Order: sequence, then C-alpha cells, then structure tokens
Amino acid sequence: MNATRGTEKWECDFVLALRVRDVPGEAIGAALAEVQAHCADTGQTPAEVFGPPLAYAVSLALPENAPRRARTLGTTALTLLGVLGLWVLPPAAGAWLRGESYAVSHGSLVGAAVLAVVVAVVAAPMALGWLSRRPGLAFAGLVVGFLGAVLPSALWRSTAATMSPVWPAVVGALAVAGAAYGLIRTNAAALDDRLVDPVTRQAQAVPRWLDAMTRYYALGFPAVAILLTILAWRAPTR
Amino acid sequence: MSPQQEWPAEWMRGLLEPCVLGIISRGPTYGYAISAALDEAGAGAVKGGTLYPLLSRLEAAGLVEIEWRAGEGGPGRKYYTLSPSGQAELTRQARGWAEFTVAIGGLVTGAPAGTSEGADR
Repeated sequence: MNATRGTEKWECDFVLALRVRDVPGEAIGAALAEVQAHCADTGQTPAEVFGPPLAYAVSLALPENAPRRARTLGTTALTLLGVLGLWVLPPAAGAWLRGESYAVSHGSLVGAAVLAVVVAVVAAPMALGWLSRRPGLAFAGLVVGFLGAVLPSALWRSTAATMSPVWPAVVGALAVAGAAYGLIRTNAAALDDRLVDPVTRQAQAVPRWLDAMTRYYALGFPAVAILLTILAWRAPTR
Repeated sequence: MSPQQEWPAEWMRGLLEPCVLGIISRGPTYGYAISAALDEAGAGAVKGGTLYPLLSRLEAAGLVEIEWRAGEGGPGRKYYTLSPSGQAELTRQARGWAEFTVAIGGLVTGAPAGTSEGADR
C-alpha cells in the first residue's frame, strides 16, 4: 500500500513538473504511460527506476508549448488588471451612487502599489514553478502581501486627491470585466490541453466541478466587485 | 566476451547511444526490452533515468519512429523503430567506432608506438 501511494505521489509530482514547464498534455500522457509500462514490466517503483520525478521530467527535455511565456505573462497581466479594478471600482462606484466625489487616500495608493508588486511576483513564471511545490509558503506570501496592501489604506486615510467618481468607476468596471473575460478564455484553452492516453487516444477525465471551477473562477472578479460596491455604497467607511 | 562480464560504467556512458541505436535496428522494440538487451550484453542495468531521456532525444532528433501498441491488460507500450536518418546515424557511428578501436586499441594493449605504421625508430 505504501508502494502504491509512493507511486501515486511520484506520478503526480512528475505530471506537475511537466505541466509547470507547459509540456502539451499529449506528450505528458505518453511520458507517463512509458513510465507505467516500464514499472509494470520490472515490478519496480518509478523512484527506483527513474530517480526523483522533477529531475526526470527535466531530463526528458520534452518540447514545450510555444507561447508559454506569452500565456504566463498574459495571465499575470489579466490578474493584475482584475485586482486593480477591484481596488478602484467599489469605492468610486459607491461614491457615485451616493452622489459624492471620489476621494483617493494616500494609503490606498500605497496599497495598490504593494498589490501590483505582490501579484506580479507570485505569478511570475519562475515563482510559479518554485512556489507550486511549496503551497504553504505561497499561501503565506499571499496573506502577507494582502495585509501589506490592505493595512496602508486602513491606517493612512488622509486624502491624496479628490475627483469625479465617474471615470474611475467606468475604468474599474472595464478592468474587472476585461480581466474576467480574458482569464476565462485563457483557462478554457488550458483546460482543453488534457493528458491523453497514447493507446486509446482518450483524454483524461476531469471532475465536472473541477472543470467548472477552473474554467469560471474568474467570474469571482465581477461577483466580488458587485459585493464590495454594495458595501461601499451602503456602508461608507468614514 | 562472455555476456556475464560487466564492463566499466564509464565506457558505457559514451557508447550508450550507438548501442541503443544498434538494438533498435534489430526491429521494433520498447524501453524495457532495450534495457534488458543492454543488461544481457553485459552493459549492466542502465537506469531508466538515463535510458528514456536518451530515447526522448533520439525521437526529437528524428532518428527513431514511434508506435504505441496496446499491452495485454497492462499499460500500452511505446515501440521504437529506426528511421532512415537513424539508420544512417548508426552506420556513421559504427564506422567511427571501428576506426576508434583500431586507432586506440594499440595504446590500450601496450603495443609499441607506431607499430601500425611500421616501426622506424
């Protein structure tokens, strides 16, 4: 049972290592099937035959999807766009709905800058490959980054500028909508690149809830924007 | 050359590619069968972490062709066949190896220098 669990973990780590390098699902399926066939023939575990999964994944030097860099950068930029939209839209739209002007605080400017840095660093390709094997650290980094972004706006409330809320609200809404649309398109393309069994040519089944969640999680941006706008409208922080 | 004899691992390291090309040239074969053939020839148990990256390189270079066949009950098997350019590469490496053994063989066996060109000193 331990050997089976060890094999499962090895295979998961191996697939993840190839996924992070953006190797096409078809090539990953073939590499995995070859590992399984060899182990079935010898009765050995993958670790015994192939060594550590990450090193083996690297040594295969499988061709990667060409636009990998562009896609990673695109996802990073879209996430950044959505988060900054969330930063601007609710206070501006809330002020607009109350018929007030939009006051930008010093703290929220600092917070937006911190947020931009955190999102860019966490989503940067290198950080992605490195952090995906340390989920605890990635989570801690996000929490610290989030606090770093929220605390300044909560503590440093002096007004830096006052303006009409219309344009910030419109730009914020466009940013949120554009980010959601772009991320849904990107994720759909990634989801269609599944692991393929080389013999049966069948794509790996993904649980429906996981498929739906991966495909549409970006709808969270408009949902949260609406929620925060209602909060900013009904319960303005003063 | 008894098949039981184990050759030094560092010899095998440089010769693995022509050996693997040679095994594949005998007919369609798969990873485990290749490693078994190497072992039988006295090359020792070549690690999967060494053999499969080499096969992956041969595939990327177009020296081998791939065919997946269903395994009986188990996972499918990836069969390798030499492509025309793989055959040409094997011929080139085999000729190089033959020349190498002639040129270097004298050194290793301790024959006096220049014996092959006729001793003139």
